Amino acid sequence: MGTLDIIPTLTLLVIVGGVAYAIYAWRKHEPDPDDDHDPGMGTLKRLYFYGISFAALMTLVAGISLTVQSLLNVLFDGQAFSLSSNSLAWGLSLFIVALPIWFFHWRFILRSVAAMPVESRSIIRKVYIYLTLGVALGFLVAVSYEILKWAMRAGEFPEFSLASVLPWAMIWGYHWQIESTEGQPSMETLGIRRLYLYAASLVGGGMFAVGIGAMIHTLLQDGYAAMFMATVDLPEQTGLARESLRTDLSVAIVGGAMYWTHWHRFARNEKDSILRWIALFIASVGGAATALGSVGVMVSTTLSWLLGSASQRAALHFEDMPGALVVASVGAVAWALFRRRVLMEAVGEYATPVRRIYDHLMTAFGLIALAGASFVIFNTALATVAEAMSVSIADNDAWRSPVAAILAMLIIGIPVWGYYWRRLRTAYAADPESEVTALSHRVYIFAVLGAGALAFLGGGGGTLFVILRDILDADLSVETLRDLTPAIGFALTSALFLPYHWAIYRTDQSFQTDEPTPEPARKRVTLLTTDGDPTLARTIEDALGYSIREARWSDPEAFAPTLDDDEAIRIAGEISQSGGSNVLLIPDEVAGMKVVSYD
Amino acid sequence: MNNYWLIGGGAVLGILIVASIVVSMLQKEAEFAPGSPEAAVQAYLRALDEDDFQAVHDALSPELRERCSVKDMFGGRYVGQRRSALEDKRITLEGARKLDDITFVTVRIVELHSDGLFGPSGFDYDETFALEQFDGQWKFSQDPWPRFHCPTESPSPVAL
Repeated sequence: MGTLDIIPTLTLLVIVGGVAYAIYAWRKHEPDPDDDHDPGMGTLKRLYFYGISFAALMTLVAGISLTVQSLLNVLFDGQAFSLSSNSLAWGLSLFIVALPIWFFHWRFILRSVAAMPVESRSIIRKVYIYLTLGVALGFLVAVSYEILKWAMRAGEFPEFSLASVLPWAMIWGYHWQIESTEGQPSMETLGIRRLYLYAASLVGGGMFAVGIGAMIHTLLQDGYAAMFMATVDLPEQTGLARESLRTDLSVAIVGGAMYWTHWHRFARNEKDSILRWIALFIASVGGAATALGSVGVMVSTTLSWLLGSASQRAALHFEDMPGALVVASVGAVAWALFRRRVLMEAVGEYATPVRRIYDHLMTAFGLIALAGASFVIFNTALATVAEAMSVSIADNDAWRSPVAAILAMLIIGIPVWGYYWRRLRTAYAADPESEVTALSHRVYIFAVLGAGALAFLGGGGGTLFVILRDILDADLSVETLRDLTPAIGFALTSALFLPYHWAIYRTDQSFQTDEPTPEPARKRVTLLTTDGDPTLARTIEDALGYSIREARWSDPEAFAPTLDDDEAIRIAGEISQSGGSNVLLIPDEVAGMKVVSYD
Repeated sequence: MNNYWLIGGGAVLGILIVASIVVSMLQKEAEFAPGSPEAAVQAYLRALDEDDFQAVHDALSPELRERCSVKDMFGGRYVGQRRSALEDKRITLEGARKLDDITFVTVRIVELHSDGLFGPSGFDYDETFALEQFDGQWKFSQDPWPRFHCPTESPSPVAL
């Protein structure tokens, strides 16, 4: 399986994520006061026009690519035994059919946006634009990889990739230009942009890491083979210029370019967003889990050798060590870089929640390692007892390999879980009310309780089934114990961790007040703004927690004040306490913002 | 909005599409030197395309012809197919290599199918033909592409 084979799956995941986010944003979307007066073209019409435009555009690109590919076939293929006009016929037919359909629908959309400015705020429009950008980017990455591989003489002549690179680049550029000009006037549409940016950044970063890691692995594996293995036959390609290294370099270059443009350029000013934090946590905690998991594999391999459970000679037993070392190094670099980025960006109001989420994620990783060790301990102990009760016909040292795995999981799990759990308990002791009500703490506790309860349910049920089955069949024997081992392992492991976390949950309950704080009533808020910068409205929306309407202030004295977060919170308070159900916000040179309410 | 790049890109695409149509219309099948292994492969493929079953059978070596009759080759499944084996396929020469008396001619076959979501999907693969000279003519000494339903071994002698 090639590295890029994962792209269709990732693209599908991104599309599913985008659709899920669109549904979430739509459900969360506050009814815009503008909608009462200017509903735009309407949801059904929008779905139709954007849906058909998307399908026609995809067909159009396929048509152009096939048509141009037929030219490249003629120019660069070998002498033809037998010709087929299929490629040209298909290309032209798709092109001829799709072009007018796309043109008609897209022109209607452009005219609607020009006539009804509310159209540019539509979530369906933004989903269409970013879905198109995502699909175009996915294809651009795939075809760029093929072209680069060919340019480095590591792949065949990529006719279809060369034919489709220009159409895809133009589609990406055109939609990006539209989106840059239009901007994102609401929180929901901004969220769709961020989903695209961070998904692209993560995929690009992942490709870069995989490409670089694969190159280093190849070189280390060569060194290992040269030092410890007797080489009977040298592979055809060796050295730095070999084909596999050039292929991996292509992956790294394409992935690196995608990561750099999206993370360092387009998302440069995108701070303070939940999706950015999610991306940072995936990169940092994902890197940590990868690094520590690989260290665990290395420790287990070494211990199984020391314990004498290895059946091969040393060179073969440690053959996978270069690979594990590379994965650990790549994971550690990602962990260090993105943890640093998390710490840099987690300032002010974000410092405590971000620290809390990070610590809970790392604690969860440590707990999974400990639970794994516990399961293997119970499993091995029961299996050893069962073996002891059986008639042995050979020396049995099957326990050695599980012991190596157990020790490796404990060596990783104890310090990670101990360090981060201790940090969380220290914070808990200092300010229990805040920690107890924190979402990350509650999610962690309920996730552990849920996983433990499910494991106990499965393990307990399985244990009871095996015992009852053998009692009813009058077949209780050492085989019963053998059959019981995994189920008992699950049940005992959950029994080991559940009571402690249940006790924490009970303690949490004593700190929580029975009556939840009522949310302030939402009002229809209108802000008088000047043209241009949407920052002012966003600052107030962040403080309020819901969307507000913007109305253009046409008077000569119109201006837009700059609000800091404290002032925005003060204004949000004034809005909540105002008497009317509608609120008008008028910029004021003295007070910053005048809050006028009416019914 | 600066649209010059869009107009430029569109113009390049337009030129490429027109060039594709013109060049594809003008393209002709290659003519290989008469008596060469490549010409034998081309004659075989043309015969196959024209359903000239006897000519296809004649292109085989005497041993293959003896093992596999015209009826074996084309009876049943092949004739039952609605389409020729070469339909919707573009076949180009990849190269020819010689090993003792056998010449191996490798071709690239590109197929296009109409099962894609927004257009057809395609794939390509290589096939190699093994040819030997019999009475001064190049004949296929191993079962050629496409696979026919011929017996894999010579028929056992008839018991008297």
